[in-house]
Amino acid sequence: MKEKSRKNEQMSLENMFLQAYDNHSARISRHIFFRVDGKEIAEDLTSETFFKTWQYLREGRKIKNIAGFLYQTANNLIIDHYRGKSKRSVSLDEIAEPIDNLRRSNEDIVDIKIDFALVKKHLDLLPEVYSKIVIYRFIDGLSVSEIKKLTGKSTVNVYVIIHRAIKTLRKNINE
Amino acid sequence: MNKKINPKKILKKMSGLPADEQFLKSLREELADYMKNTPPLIKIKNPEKLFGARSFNFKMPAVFGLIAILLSGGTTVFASQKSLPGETLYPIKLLVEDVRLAATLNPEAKIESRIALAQKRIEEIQTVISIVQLEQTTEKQTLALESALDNFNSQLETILSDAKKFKNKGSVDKAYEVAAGLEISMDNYRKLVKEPKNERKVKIKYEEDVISSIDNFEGKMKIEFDDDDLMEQKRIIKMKFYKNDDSNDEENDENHDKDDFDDYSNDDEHADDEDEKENEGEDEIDEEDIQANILKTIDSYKNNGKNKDGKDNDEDD
Repeated sequence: MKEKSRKNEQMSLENMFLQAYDNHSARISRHIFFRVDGKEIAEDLTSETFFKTWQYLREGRKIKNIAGFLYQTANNLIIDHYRGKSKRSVSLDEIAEPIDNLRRSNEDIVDIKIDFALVKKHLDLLPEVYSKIVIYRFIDGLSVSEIKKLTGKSTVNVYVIIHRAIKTLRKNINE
Repeated sequence: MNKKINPKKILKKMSGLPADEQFLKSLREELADYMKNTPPLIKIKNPEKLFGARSFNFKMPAVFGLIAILLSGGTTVFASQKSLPGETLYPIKLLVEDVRLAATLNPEAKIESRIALAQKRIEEIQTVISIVQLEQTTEKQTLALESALDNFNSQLETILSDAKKFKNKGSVDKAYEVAAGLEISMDNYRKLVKEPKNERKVKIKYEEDVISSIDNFEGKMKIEFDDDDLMEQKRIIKMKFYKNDDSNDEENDENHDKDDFDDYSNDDEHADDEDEKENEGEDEIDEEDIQANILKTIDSYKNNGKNKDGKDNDEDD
């Protein structure tokens, strides 16, 4: 433990940030991908998230929890992105694109694609807060206390939202 | 097409989608370039400080120092055992529980205590709710109720992850046993919440929350464990209870330590006394049933542990 922190001390800010990138970029980009329409936009927003965070760090400002900060930044960017746009649209192919990379039989892929597209579509129809928290919880695998910190909601509130969102999703999808 | 879709399951699957490695790699290069062009504006001596200090370490020595005191049990520790969320000694109670758990080495015993502790949290939440009107709770009490709920969740979370650990180690049977035990306990928790001691028409926020976190855990279990196998295990465990305990159930029930919480609620609920009496018969039976069930779950863990002693001992690390 101690050795590790000593090592960190000698690291430059750049390297530390790159390390943070390695640790979190996959999660962040996936999170963004599920919240916006289209891969290109998702990639743009992912890049911007990290650039912005770097801008913040290079000014010598402190970040308590880097993962939380990245999510927060991504979140703000997503909101900015949708400001002015009225409705999100889903493209079936784009949602399912990464699935093709999984080695599966064709039939499986079609099945999964349909399921995914359905869930994503209904996720998009949920109120913003709901879909955001569901994505945090199930796609990003964040704990409730992490979500609590990110959203500023109480633990109970987060649980209730997850519960209601899943209930609604289940109802709408199976109707 | 007529299959039911479970959104949680699909979301979980979606979370396993591979990230676009190529994109991430090229972005990493871009980022490194970008940082070269925009170096830190000021010289930063201890970059790790910007990322927030890791302040968890201080806990360890403190806990070790406390273990001796807490395990042996001073007056404060003893007094804290009856405290409720929002009371001064309550955090000490939680701490004592933590320390005792940490001192328990046998994984099965640990799971038993966790199941019991989770139930304790529900009872505490209910007791607090029945004493104070929820609208009048102080901020401290609200926080405390939430921390009780947190604790409840973390107990379940740990049990679930223990079950997963068993599974990963290859003891699939054991994993299912633990998971099924947890399922049964959750059914019981649910009953506890659904049938509050004093007849209340309105469901209170925290009760809903307990239910929703139980739902949440059940969802998680469904992702991790096969539904049919789980049901099967549940049935086996339940059969075992009824075989073993049917005869001496009634005598034992009087000895259960459900008294401390009843004390509280009865003192303050005179207004509801009449209602309560009407329902007392029913409620008590249910409650006792539940308690007996939980004890049975625990017993069954013990028995199973003993039966397979030779096999499972190597997991005690």
